[in-house]
Amino acid sequence: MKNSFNKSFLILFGIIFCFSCTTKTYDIELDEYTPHLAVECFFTAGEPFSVVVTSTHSNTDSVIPLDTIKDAEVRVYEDGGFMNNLEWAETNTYRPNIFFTEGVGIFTNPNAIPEVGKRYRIEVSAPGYDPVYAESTIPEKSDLSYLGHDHITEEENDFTYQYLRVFLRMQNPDTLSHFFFFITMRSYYWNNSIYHHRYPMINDPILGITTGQNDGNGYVLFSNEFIEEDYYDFHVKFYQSDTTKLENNPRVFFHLATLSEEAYHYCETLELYQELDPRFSEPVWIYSNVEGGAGVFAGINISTDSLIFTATSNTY
Amino acid sequence: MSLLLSLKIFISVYIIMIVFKPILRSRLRRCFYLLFFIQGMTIQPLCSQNSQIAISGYIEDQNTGERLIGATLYDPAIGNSAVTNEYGFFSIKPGLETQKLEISYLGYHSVEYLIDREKSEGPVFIKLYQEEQALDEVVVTGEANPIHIRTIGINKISMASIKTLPVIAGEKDIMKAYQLLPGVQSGMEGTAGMVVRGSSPGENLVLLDGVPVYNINHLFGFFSVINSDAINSSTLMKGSMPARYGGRISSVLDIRMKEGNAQKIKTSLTAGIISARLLVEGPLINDRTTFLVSARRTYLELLGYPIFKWIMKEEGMWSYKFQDINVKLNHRFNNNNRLYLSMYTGDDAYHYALNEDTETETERVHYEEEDGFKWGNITGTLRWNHQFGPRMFSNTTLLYSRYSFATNTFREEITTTTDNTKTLRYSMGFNSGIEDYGTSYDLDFYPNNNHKIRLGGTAVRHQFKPGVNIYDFQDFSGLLEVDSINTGAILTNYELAAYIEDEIKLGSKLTIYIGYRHVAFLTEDTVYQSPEPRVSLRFQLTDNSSLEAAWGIISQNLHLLTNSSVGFPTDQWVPITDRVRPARAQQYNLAYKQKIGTLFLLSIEGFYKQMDNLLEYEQNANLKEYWEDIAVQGVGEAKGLEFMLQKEHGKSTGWIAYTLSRSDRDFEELNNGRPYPYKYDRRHDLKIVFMQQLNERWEAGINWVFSTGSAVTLPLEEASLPNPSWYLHYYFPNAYPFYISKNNYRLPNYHRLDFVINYTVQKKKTEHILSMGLYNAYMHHNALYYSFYDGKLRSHSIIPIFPSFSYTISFN
Repeated sequence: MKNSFNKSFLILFGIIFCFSCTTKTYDIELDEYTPHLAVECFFTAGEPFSVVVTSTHSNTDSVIPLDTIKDAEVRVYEDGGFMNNLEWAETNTYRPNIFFTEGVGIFTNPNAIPEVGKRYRIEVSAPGYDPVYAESTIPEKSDLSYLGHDHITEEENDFTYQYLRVFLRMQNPDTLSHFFFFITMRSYYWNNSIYHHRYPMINDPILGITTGQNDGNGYVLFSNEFIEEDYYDFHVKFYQSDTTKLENNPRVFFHLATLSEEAYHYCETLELYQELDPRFSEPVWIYSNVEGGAGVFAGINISTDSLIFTATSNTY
Repeated sequence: MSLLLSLKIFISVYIIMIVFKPILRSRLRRCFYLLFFIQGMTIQPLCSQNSQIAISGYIEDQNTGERLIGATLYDPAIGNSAVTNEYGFFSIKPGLETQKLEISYLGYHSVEYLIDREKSEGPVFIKLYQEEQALDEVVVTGEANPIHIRTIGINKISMASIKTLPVIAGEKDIMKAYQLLPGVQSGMEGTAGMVVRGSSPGENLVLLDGVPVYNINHLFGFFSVINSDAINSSTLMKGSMPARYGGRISSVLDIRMKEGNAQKIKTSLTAGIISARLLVEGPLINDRTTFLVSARRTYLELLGYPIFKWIMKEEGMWSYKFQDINVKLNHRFNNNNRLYLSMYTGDDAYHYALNEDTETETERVHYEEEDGFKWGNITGTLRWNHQFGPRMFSNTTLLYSRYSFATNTFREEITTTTDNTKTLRYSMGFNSGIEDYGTSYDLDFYPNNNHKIRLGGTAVRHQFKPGVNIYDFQDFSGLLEVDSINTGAILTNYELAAYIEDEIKLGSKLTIYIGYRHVAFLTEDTVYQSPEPRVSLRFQLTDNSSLEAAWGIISQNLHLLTNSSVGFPTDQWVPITDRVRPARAQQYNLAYKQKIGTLFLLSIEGFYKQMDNLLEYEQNANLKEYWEDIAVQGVGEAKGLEFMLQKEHGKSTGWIAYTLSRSDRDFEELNNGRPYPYKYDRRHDLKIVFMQQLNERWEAGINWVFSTGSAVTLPLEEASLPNPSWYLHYYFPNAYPFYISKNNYRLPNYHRLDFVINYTVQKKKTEHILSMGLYNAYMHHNALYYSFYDGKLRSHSIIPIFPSFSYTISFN
């Protein structure tokens, strides 16, 4: 009897031990959450406000809902006084800018045009959501101008590379905001055989380092903290492998956006979210100046210059 | 005689002041001299006016000769008590009418010591018997009365209890035992790290024979580095600790190693599920020199690797091991002089390697992969105990402590074709560590029953290597990039501390403790001065109840910088610098203790703690950057009530402990500047521990633990970017996590039930102990970590149930 008990006990113990050597994973029912309004608006001088209103959704949704909230009430205030209501507008009825494009419809009003230096406040409410508000100002513009270009070759690991180098100048008067966003972009879709070899490269002690992605665009986010002069010169390099295939005389735009602090922090954290390895970083919180909700309402001011690439002649 | 004592005190203080002279301001120096002058003037008359005899000596274990730390002597005639110090030393002046002293110690039978007034001066050696031993020749008195001694914020668990507490994999563990007390929790499931009163694990000072142990984790925290076989006693101070302790703002766990059996050579061998332990101790030269060697080694890789290979069909080779060795030697020159040498070394090592060769008609590819972790501690103490007479006891110590951590990752792919050979290589390494050298001097002085004075000083040189990343990449073209971050960032600073404390008895009911510690931290260009007053008082309401209150300030000159994933040893110890200030805490305590009958003790203790200059990573920190650039400092607050009903003696022992607490943090740069609950904030915490001696052979232990789930930061919501410009859609996400606030989500409550059964067979020359247990017996899924996967929050638990089994054989 005793031996039988001991044997049973040992078998049971062995089974439990084997069972314990496994990991267990189970799903947790999350508490109900209250969705929040999400507002996105980069406004610039002379252009009507264009505000996208959406709501947050569950992090566990496998499909990201992109619907906007059409029945929201959006009010804009200028320097503390009521300015206008923004109305729902379907897609293709407004102008895109470098921060957002046509897509899902916006709230806008052709009479609500912001100006540099004034303080704007937006208040958004919608049925089923807590109201939100945010404030920002359009900063002074920094003029961007084309200084010239040249062609260079560089040796790297026994290879010779040819580059077109475009020189640019940004103004940096004392009145400027401290934050900037510089981006190059093409005017339309380039020949496939070309655009892979035409990405812009920036390697600058103030602006930072970037190389464009497959679509040929590249941007840098920087501050003028270390610029002492009232202007700053820099250059963008374009790698050239075969200029004979530039068929459509593509135009390249250079945009320098002067950012409000809100716009800078928003872009900065979005950039961090994309770049940081979550294994070696703290969770990235996307900046928001929308009280009670998500997103950003931020003033920007854009200065643009452009060049046309011409085929075979290597002239621009 | 008394003049000589005073002279000795002044000489000691003078030496300390000389050491500190460069860093103490002149006004502060004058205050010190004045304080010691007044102290000396007070003490000398006290010494001279008293004609009572003083009894001093040591309290020891009858069987092993081990000194018993914290044993209580009680003089029932005058209601006076004394407690042995860290070396088992005591000094007490019995009343003129006193015939006997009652001596008690946790886990031992209390005895009476009959006073022989004719006996000449000299240390007495009082022997106590452990509770499970036969008691024919010993007079047993009533149980120890903790009402008579200062206990506010102080907890002790006897080694006998620790052996009967259920633990994971049968590894008896001091840390796990203390996690069962009120106000103490584990960081996460199964881990050895301690969270005391809502603080960080890095704010606890773990002292092994007086030397700080920086990393207390084996096996990523599932076991502690403290091998219980080598431990004599341990005391946890959760707040308002005496002035002789400092350096951490939350708690001090003072662990003392055994000195080695003074009677005979004793060997014991234990084999458990994952490790084996060996203990050898005994006298070396007559009874003057004793030694102890205790070693532990896992054989996890031997058992685990074949299973892993079979289950995972994995081609690579992996190994994981931890080991530690404790060595202690002590030599008694005479009754007044003793020299101790104690050392500890222990480390963990994980290694994975994979070699693969593939061959096609055109090329041959050799692939090599290697990952490794290694971390460990080394500590050492050389200590000289000297007894000046029945009233004075001193310690001179040299100490050393080192903690190091390193990881490495290596990948190499060599492709050989008929034309050429190309190599793709990637390697990354991370090193971190801390090394201390120091010396300290402590003097215990017992001028009479109304004063117990302790003073001393410490000087420690800390050298930090907070984190060095080494990155190396070589692509197929042969381009070699080396990017080393933080290399050479070795930082050195110095810590100088002096303290004085006095436990003053005012009448038979009131005891006041006054202590002052002054610490100076020297960084490269800055000297941080930290005055740390400590005050407590105990008022004995009745013979069975007391009220205690305490207040104290304490500072910390190093920080444990932890990222949001908890508990892994990649956490970095970083020093204070010219930019990073020392952490500082101020704690208020109030305690009521009531003895219920002769068996039970009820204690209710409240605390309120304010903390400044706590260190955290800033929001969105990239951990590859230099730590000082991504760390921010803020404040914290913790408050709570602790209830404990315990039974310490008899065949049935145990306790019920409940803590109601709250812990918040407030950093300007975190959580948009708003306060938030700390990740170790647990509102409710309940522990029920029960141990039963069934008969001479069988004993059983059971415990149940419940606590509110941890506060974690979970992005329950996402915000979407429905129409980013086509310039940016490669760079910006379609959607991103939206955080409402830091630590916004409460994980499910934690609870588990464990039990253990020990079967002991005592034979003439050997003792056999068979121990079996179950950890998390009803298989509650307590999570080790969480993840979002496939649109769901998932909890991962790796120890749904864990049986333990160990066998110990001891040779007497």
